Amino acid sequence: MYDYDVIIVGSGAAGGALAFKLSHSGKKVALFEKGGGYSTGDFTRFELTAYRNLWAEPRFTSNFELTQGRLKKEIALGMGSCVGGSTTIFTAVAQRAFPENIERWYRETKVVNENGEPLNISDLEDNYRTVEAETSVRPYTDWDKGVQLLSHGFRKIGLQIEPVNAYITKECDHSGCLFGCPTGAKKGSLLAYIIPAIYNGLELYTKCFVKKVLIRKTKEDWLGRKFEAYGIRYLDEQGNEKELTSKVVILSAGALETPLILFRSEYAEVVGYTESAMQIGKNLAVNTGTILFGVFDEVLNNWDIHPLSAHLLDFALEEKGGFLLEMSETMEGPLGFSQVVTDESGMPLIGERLQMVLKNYNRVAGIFISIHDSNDGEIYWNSKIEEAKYLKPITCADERRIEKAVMLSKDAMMAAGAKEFYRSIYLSHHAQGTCRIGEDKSRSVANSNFEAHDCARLFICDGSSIPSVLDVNPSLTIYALADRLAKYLNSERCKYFA
Amino acid sequence: MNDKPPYALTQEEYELIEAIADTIIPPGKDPAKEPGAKQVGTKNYFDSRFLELSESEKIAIRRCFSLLEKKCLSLCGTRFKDARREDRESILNILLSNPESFKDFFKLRAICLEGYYSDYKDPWYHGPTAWDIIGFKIKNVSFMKKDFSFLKVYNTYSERK
Repeated sequence: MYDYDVIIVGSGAAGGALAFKLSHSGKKVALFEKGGGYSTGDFTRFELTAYRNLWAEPRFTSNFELTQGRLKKEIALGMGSCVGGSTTIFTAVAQRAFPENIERWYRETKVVNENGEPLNISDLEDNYRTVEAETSVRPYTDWDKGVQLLSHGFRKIGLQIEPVNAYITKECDHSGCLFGCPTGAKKGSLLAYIIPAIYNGLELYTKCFVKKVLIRKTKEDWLGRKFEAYGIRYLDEQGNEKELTSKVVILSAGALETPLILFRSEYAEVVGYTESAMQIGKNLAVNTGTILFGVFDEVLNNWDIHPLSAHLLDFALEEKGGFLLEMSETMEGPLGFSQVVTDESGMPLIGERLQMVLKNYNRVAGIFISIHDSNDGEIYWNSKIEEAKYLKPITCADERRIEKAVMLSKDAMMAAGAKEFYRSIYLSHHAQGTCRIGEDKSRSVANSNFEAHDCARLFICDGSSIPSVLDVNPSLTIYALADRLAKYLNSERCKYFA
Repeated sequence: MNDKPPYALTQEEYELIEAIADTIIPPGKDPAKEPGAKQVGTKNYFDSRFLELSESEKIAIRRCFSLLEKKCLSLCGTRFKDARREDRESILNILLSNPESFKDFFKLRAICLEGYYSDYKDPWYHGPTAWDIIGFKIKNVSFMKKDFSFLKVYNTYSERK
């Protein structure tokens, strides 16, 4: 009757992990990805090819336009667009969330565990442990020269940076994280989950654009839902419109894309503009980031490094300062670096100054600063022209946090011998919170089992599910959430596969 | 159809983009050793890249062209391509710092940078490129397959194939 047991839309952290875990349990699974399929042998380290094949075209917020000029600064929102999603081009940082961050989820949207109690970090312990083993997480202690130099600087000002945990095996040759790992050492969704899932029978659809979720009216269920999802409509690589059906649909296209699929599906219109449906696209958080670049006397060749191998967590929580420092990011190549580099006031460089800093690129080390964020952004959808606009305020408090972090980073860099400083534009790759989970229907789109409040058989699991922003890289937590959903769907508690 | 570039831009726009790219990435003191965007042919990269932009992106880029010319005329009394380098730089900076035009000019700048720092050089240029100037050499250089096949100018002229 159905084409598949499960259709998953999006092949990033959650989509890939779910595809593996559900196909492993014998379910017939289809995984849809808008981007192309590439693997280790295709990752050539040539920046331009990687940006074209693996990255989504960067989209800026529209803060100025959406606030009639009140907000003047924009953020570049980046993400992957290929099999493996952002995990193919991410820096492989694998940090567990702080317990304080998870405790806040209940306060925000009433997320509960299997027993109906407020979810806390111990509920995620098993999930974290599982996904850490599956993705080869280890402390990344093989620091390059740039990080060692910065470590020295931080020590001089009384602070100690630590190795990040990373999804990287010992075979890492320190090159090309952002352009697809050329050695296969990075265990993103592609290698850890999707390729093994193909051996389980997963059917992978690449370069296929999912237009909408198919939703129909049904008999009211025990949760009072009168609608259910039964498949998707998509455009194949040749642009032909097709439909496929499934018992369950899972949206895992990421916090920037998943709400757009629901907007295109006219979800709110279909289910009758419920409180929950009106939450779609709201509560966007991005951990606004910027990079402080320092120019040193020593040749560092920081393009030959793992981009983020150390961090300073001391100030990451809101009450401790609200900023996270990771190092020694320099964008891994001259093209990316030239595009993001700005002067200290945030003005993109042009002319001789640009040429001069690029000539010194081999002596640059960087500290990536990301801040504790508020879920105060929103995605706006214009259905007439099918265009999304992103609002994500950079508040005065955000700017104060960033400036504090910049001052501290600068002190450490100066102590390490940096002579000149540059900044980057505001950027983020950690969008979260646009289709939150929780039991409070007025503040979330899906319940604690990731199933839409208003539509049975429709699950949402990715960065959009996160109820309130995390103060570390969210990818490990997204993997852990996918593990939770897989366990639920593979359990007797879920009746859809009986 | 044109045999040589410009394929997508008008002749006027083609000359303007050469001036814009030259302002963003000027040559060093000795252009033979330290070429800028003008020398390596960034305008041809831009022109071929323009072909694949969406209609709304093309409109945005053309809006930038028009804004630049208007600003230059009002501040310097000349066309942008005829203005002094320092004036061109100031005008670009003004428009990049204006929140209303920031995103469009950032995109324009980003494509120019692609046509230079990606190590692009057009079929008629045989000198050093950005990577030589920077000394950008990475491990696994044998894996480094530069792929410019998406550019019409690259496909049209066999020398670069």
